[in-house]
Amino acid sequence: MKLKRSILKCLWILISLLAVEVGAQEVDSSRFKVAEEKPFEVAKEEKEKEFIRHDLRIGVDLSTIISGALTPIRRGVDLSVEYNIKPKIFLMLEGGYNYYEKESVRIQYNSKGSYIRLGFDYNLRNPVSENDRDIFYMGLRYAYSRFTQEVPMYLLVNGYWGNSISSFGPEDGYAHWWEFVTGFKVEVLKNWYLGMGMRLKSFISRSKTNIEPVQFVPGYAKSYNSGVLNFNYTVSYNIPLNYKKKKLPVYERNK
Amino acid sequence: MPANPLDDVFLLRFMIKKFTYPLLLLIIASIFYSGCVKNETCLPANNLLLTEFYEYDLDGLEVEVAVDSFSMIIVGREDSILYNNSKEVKSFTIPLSDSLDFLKVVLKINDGVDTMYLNYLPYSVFRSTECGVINRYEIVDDSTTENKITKRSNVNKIIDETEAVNLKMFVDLN
Repeated sequence: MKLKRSILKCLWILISLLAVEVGAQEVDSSRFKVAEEKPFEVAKEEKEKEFIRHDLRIGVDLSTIISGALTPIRRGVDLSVEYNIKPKIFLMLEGGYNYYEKESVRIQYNSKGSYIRLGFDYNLRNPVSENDRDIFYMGLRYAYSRFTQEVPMYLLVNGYWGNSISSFGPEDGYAHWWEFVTGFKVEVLKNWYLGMGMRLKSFISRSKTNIEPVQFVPGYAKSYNSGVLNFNYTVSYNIPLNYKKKKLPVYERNK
Repeated sequence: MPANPLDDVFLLRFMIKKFTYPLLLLIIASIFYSGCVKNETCLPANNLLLTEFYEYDLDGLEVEVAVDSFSMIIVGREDSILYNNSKEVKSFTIPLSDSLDFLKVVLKINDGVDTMYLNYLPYSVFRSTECGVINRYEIVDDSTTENKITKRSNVNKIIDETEAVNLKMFVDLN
């Protein structure tokens, strides 16, 4: 009788264990089915900062300001914005306003106007470290200027009849030219750069007036038809834009 | 070991790194700049109409001649005797006014007197801020009486800094 009970007890335990095992298999199977029927999907995107080298430099031409302070002949301001669209290529936008005045016993002349330049610079220098942003560049510009020039007074010398004074009124003009530029920019303080550049300029076209040849085109400087070479000294500030937000997908299971 | 900023070698490397391109650029710039500086030469303005005396020789060829005695007066202006019985005159000049466009000039050639009428147009030419503005003149029309003057030939209508001959005046010196 005892043996019979023991056998029954063992059978019950075995059945129970089997039942548990089958149950466990059934749970796993149900999980698999859920995963099959309701897969993970992109529920939302999170943004993470990623280091990407970006330079947005805003600069001012010191030579225009200094020459304007030292002598009243030429005054104005020349600003520039540069942004690297590729690691070594900078998109350049420059513009400004110039006023030029020359006065002597024989003549008074003035020319004033604004200009804009658009082009690119290519950095020839390989950085020695990630934060090394000194550049040695070469580039091209297209430039356009609108200006007004005037001769408020000129003296005509006539030994027999006597001298006389006359004038040319204000005359509007425009000019297109291209520039080949080269120079360097060196970081002297954190994010502050000093630069020196050289510009070779030549007219594409320009308007003709009674005051011909035009003496001063804003942005071009003194006008020589064969081309002109200018130097400029700049100070620039690099706005730190080194971190760009990168979108990272976050997966969630559908309910 | 990090570089000591006061280390001479570090400083030298720093300077080479920072100033190699600037120095190169300065050298290139100085070479270019020396070739670009140019000095402007300002020719003096000229308001004198230049006339030369001519006559025809026996072969009918033009020959430059000198007038034994020559006087000139600009009518309508005081102290206008520009030539007063000048001797051996091969050419003469008439000063043009910047505010007038007509001149009447009396010429005494040896013992004969002629009158010259001159219409001209003065116009201003801007040269540069260094050279200023000058006037040039264009002869519109000229005529003379024909006492001693037999013929005129207008060889250059523009009076400018070139100081070229403007009129040939053929005279009868016999």
